[in-house]
Amino acid sequence: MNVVYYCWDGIFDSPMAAMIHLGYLSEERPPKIGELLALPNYGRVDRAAGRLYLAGVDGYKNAVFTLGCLNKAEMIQRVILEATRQLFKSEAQFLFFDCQSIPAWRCFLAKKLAMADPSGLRLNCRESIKSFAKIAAVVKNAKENLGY
Amino acid sequence: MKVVYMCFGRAHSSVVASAIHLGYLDPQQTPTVPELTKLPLFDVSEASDLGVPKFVGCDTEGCEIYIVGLDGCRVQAQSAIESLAAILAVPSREFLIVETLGAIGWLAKFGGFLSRQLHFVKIGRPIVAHGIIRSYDLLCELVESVKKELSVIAAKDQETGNPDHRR
Repeated sequence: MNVVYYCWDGIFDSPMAAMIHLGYLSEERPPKIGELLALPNYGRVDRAAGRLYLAGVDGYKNAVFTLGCLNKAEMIQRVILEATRQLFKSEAQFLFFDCQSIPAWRCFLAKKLAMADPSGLRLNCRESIKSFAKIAAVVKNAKENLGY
Repeated sequence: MKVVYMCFGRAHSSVVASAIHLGYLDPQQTPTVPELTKLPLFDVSEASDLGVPKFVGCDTEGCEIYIVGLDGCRVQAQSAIESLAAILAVPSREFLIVETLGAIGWLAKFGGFLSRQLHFVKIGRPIVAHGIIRSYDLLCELVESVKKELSVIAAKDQETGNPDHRR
């Protein structure tokens, strides 16, 4: 099974969800800014929307991916699912979980600022920490769906 | 090898490009409006078809030809397909995604919008057909470049001894 956490740009919310899923961040307490910035895939402004990025493999051997969908989440999901079956003739399974929490405009602004200066990421760190409860709930739901 | 012609709605430019590739339309002779509208998939797609690759046939070299409509997220969807291929361990030389929308002009896009988006089929279909006829040479050039690229890939595969380059 492939687990996909998706958000607007795949830079803030979905990497945080993936890191909670994989145990790099606690499920119980919100992370600190330093912990977030130390994550390998948080705030990576070079990541392209639509591309699946492997965050890691969990203890049940399920691959965990992050994905940025902009405002076309339904279409991107359909493309991935249909291309898997029709184009690549694969039986691979994908489960998608929406963990969008930070508003799109804020993600856009933080990304543009961070491209000019990495400290721009800090604009969203506090928002990510504030969103912790919501994102942790998405991860909990995902794990329940996976039968953990 | 798989070739995916992609456009906005999987109704016009990708359908015509695939028809040229498969030999249903003659690249030497510009088709008439009835010839275009008689193509089985011309101007018939619905919103539910978006994002779904449709197999339309195999060319003379055995390449599988697909068409897909990707709405306004062609760049993101192409990235999704390419990353998916990497995840599924499909080598990048085994598929080719070709954007066809750039080969048609505003008239075809306008007719397509009238027919598919606004459902003014009687008005939009002839307009889009005329638009495609105006852009037919560009579509033929695009398909020709795709065929050349396929032959280059095949030649490279033969050099490197890859036996299943037409898989």
